[in-house]
Amino acid sequence: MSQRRNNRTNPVLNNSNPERQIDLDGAIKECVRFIVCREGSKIPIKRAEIVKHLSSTYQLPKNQVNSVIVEANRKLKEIYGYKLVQVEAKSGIQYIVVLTEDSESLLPTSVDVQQRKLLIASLTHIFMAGGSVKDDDMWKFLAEANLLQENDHAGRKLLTNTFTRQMYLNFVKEGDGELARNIFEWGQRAVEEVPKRFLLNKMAQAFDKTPDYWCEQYKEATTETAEEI
Amino acid sequence: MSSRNSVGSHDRKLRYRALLDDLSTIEDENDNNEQRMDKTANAVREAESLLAEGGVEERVKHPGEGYLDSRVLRATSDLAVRCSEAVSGNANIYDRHELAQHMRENPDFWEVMFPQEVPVYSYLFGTFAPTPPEQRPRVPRRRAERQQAAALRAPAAVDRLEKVEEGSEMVSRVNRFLVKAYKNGGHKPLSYFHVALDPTSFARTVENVYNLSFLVRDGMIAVDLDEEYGLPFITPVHGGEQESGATSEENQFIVSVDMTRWQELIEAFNITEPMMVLKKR
Repeated sequence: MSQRRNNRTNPVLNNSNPERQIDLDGAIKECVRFIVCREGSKIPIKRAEIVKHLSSTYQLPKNQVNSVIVEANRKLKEIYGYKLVQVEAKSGIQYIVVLTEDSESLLPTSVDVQQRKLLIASLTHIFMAGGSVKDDDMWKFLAEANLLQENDHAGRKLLTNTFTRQMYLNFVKEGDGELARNIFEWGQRAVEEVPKRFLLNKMAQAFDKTPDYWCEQYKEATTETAEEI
Repeated sequence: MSSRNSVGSHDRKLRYRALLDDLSTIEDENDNNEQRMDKTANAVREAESLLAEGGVEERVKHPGEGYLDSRVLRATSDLAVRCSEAVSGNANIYDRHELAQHMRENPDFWEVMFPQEVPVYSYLFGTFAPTPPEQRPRVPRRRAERQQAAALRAPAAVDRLEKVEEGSEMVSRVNRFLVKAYKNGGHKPLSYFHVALDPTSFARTVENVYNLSFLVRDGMIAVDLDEEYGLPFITPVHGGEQESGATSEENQFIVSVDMTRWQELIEAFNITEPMMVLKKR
């Protein structure tokens, strides 16, 4: 931030010091553009990717990256209503992009409708079932809902790989030895993007009940909302 | 007494194993939570009775039992946790079948954006069809050229044990030379040192000694100490005599030669040129 001001107010200094000649403004814009475009895949954006992109397009030194990302985040919020959520992963820092506040948006044409239904069904089922669902249980449920055929192993990859990579779901092994089993849970992106209250309202609408009909889930949804406030 | 005990221990171990097997299938085989809890409780009870069966001393003797016991306990407690989770799940009235049915019948109702989901940014010039991402063809794994296994070679069948050993060519040539020299010399024994020593080469001398020793071993020649001079003399032995020679008293003697000894011997016998000249092939 302060360096940007220096850029403008101190052109003499700029010329004398080559390090100051970095086009920070441009780098910030590029960073915003990069994030907006890259976000479409829903796959978390690695910090290393941003660093690499900016250093190749704007020769941005590594020590400036943080301030550029902070500034880009501010712009994203101001103009698009996006915010970056930092995720710690084994491979380093990653970001996912979510909206700062709830909004009703149209389903983009680029989203596969069948995939969307699968995703919503699995997230709802996990939430309603109390937080985690065994894999076999999930396949049975999806087959019953006519979303995924019983033995569609390629389709299952959507849940075990795609949604997991997009951080909508976690697919983890629980227990060990003979009692080990694989379970699905909500991933971090789901936690950020989907208020539990929203799903519960959807349920209430579907079955013509009030949300507090499912008291356990209602409790969870309201505590989540309370935490946010 | 002790054998009876170990049989008991073995028996108990088998029962522990069976118990573990049962536990691993309880979850899949019993839909009803109550059934599961009953079975788990039974398993714990049985483990307890198994524990009571063997005394403390026996447990010390057979630590394997203790291990299995702890595994059974661990499995049962795991199951207990899952059962209790299911109980709190039962308390909520979520009916998955009802939800699945609703989803089946009203698929469009369940097709929404999430409140805080960023709408995917798409280009006007881009494709309108929601196509799956391009599937990059996977580069087929390159097969490592495997070396042709060399044809198996069976070891040569040994049909004749008395196979002529390698290097015996030289030995037989020495033998032929000796026989010839013996005949030419009027069937007089040949002086061992005159035969063996080669004044032009120490190495060949050693080689000669070596070859001669083989002939002696095989009974082709006899080396006797001459009574007059006390020096060794060589006599070729003919086929018929070989047998009888074997029965006579056998002595061994060791020839040791080094450079100085070789020179001394040459001077003592006044040898100027080698007696035995064998052409190398």
